[in-house]
Amino acid sequence: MFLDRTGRRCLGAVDATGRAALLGVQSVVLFFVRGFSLPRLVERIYEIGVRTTPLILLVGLFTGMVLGLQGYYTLVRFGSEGLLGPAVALTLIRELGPVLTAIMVVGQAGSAMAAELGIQRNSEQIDALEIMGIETRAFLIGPRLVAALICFPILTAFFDIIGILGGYVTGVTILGLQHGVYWSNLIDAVQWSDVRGGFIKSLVFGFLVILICCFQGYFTHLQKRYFGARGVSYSATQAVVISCVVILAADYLITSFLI
Amino acid sequence: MDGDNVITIEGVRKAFGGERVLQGVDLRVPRGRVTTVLGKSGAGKSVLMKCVAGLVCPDAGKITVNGEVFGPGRSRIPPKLSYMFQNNALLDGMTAYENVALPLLERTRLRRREVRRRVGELFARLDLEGVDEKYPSQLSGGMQKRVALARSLAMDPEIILFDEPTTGLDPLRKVSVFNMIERYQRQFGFTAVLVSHDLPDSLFISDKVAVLDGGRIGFEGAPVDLQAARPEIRATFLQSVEDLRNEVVGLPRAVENEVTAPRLELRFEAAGARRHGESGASPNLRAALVIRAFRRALPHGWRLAAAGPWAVAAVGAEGDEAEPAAVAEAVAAVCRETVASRPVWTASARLHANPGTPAELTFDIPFSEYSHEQAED
Repeated sequence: MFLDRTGRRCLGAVDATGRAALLGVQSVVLFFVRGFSLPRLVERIYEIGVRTTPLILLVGLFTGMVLGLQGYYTLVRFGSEGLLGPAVALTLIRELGPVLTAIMVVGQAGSAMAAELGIQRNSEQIDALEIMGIETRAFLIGPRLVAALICFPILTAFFDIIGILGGYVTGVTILGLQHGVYWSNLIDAVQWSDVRGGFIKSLVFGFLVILICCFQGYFTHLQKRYFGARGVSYSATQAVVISCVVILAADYLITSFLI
Repeated sequence: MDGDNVITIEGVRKAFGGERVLQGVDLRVPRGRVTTVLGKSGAGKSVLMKCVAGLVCPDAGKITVNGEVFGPGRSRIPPKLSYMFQNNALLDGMTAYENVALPLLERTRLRRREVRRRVGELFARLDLEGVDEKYPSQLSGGMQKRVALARSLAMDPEIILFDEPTTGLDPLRKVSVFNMIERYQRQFGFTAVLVSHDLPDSLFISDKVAVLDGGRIGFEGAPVDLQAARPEIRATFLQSVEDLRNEVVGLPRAVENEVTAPRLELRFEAAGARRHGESGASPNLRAALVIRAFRRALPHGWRLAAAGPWAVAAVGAEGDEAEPAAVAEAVAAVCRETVASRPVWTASARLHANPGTPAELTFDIPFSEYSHEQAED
């Protein structure tokens, strides 16, 4: 009984992964081949990028400040407080920047995306688009995925920069570390490969989370547990939960390949 | 193409899980006419429409739309076909203008100025001026329907499928939606397929009726022939529905919709006929069919008005140059075809033409004769 249920769930997960991958690839290809629209892409960039920027800056600032605080008091025990700049910068660029940015975007835009598509599905708006002969994957999902690929690296960069400044505020302005020590050690320690790793992660996370959110919304009607408004709310919740888990799992996998 | 049938459905089957919804549906939809698919809730009417529209893939059978065959397997949307959803399915994040312009912008290479012109023209024809910048949630139910119809018409379709267009509307709005469909079908000339369970209202505008019962088409023919359908269908779709509803939403509303003064006599007379032993004769249905025949026969500008318990009047437009006698003859010809083929449904016309006033033709509808003969039978 247990094995049967587990097996069915595993098969369901594999099936969903396959369908999601297909949806992602088809949506992007169809967007460029059949439905490219610059205004629609800009609209999605605004939705994912511009509207999320204040949140990213706020979270990035406090993350950097906390890192600066914790890092300073840990490093000072070993007499290595001069390494605060590199510690904050590498933590942010390699790990926290891409991960927290992706999680913030999921919370701000991803869940809304899943809910919007779910409502459009339930109210037959997606069927109406199909009747009009509009390729819905190219119209609804393609621009969001392309916008994610454009926005995520930029948002991650914003997060990293503001986080490093947050660490500076705590370490230098509040705790009295020397300005030059913070910056010179940071510049010496951060390598191009660190930045590249963070960039790759942000691209992968961006594509994955937006795909998961769109998949959950677009296929709301195929859910077997909940229907109607509950189905939409379940889809939005699932989009956030699955995205967060996938971000962390993908982070581990990418890191193990990059190191 | 099968004769002049724009849609031919042959042996279509569809099941969801273990539930067999369509069990071999055969139906032909004539070009340029209004066809109504009647059926009880859950009979599979909407599923059938979605199979035709390509939104649901049938398990078996063949659907031919405009000569192109859409069989089981992967579903595909037939070209030149539009679909009006039960809940309108307007994109709620877009304005009325954007909703209607969307298919033109996405599917054609028209310039924005041309799109604006075409949408403006559609809005003017559908009495939607001034709603361009409003969102669907800011529009009344009737306006939403018209915006949805405008969107359906934007790509100049040959066929429009209406999925229960009056669901959730109050009786007055229902009549206005049926009027809208009839009016614009005549104006634009598309083939309309309606799914409805609104009797007798839907029969007013239908050229053909099909009854979906038990997953199959139980009756297919002209509305006047519905009374010749199998007894169980007749009982289900005429007697029971009318007994329940016609007292409230029957013939008089349709007449009221054309005139300002309420004319309730017809309803009372019809109810009276039923009380006098005509339990299954559906007087309102017959009245509806007669009225409908009149309305379709009237020239442009003429309107229908109630004129007494057993009569309706056709009133000419102010300054109309149409010859009343010719109008009377034209109407009589159509009525002979529709009505007089049943010996008990006779209609006679009286002409009132005074200088300076619109011509008025009064037609008598002797339901009592029918009632009398039925009682003798």
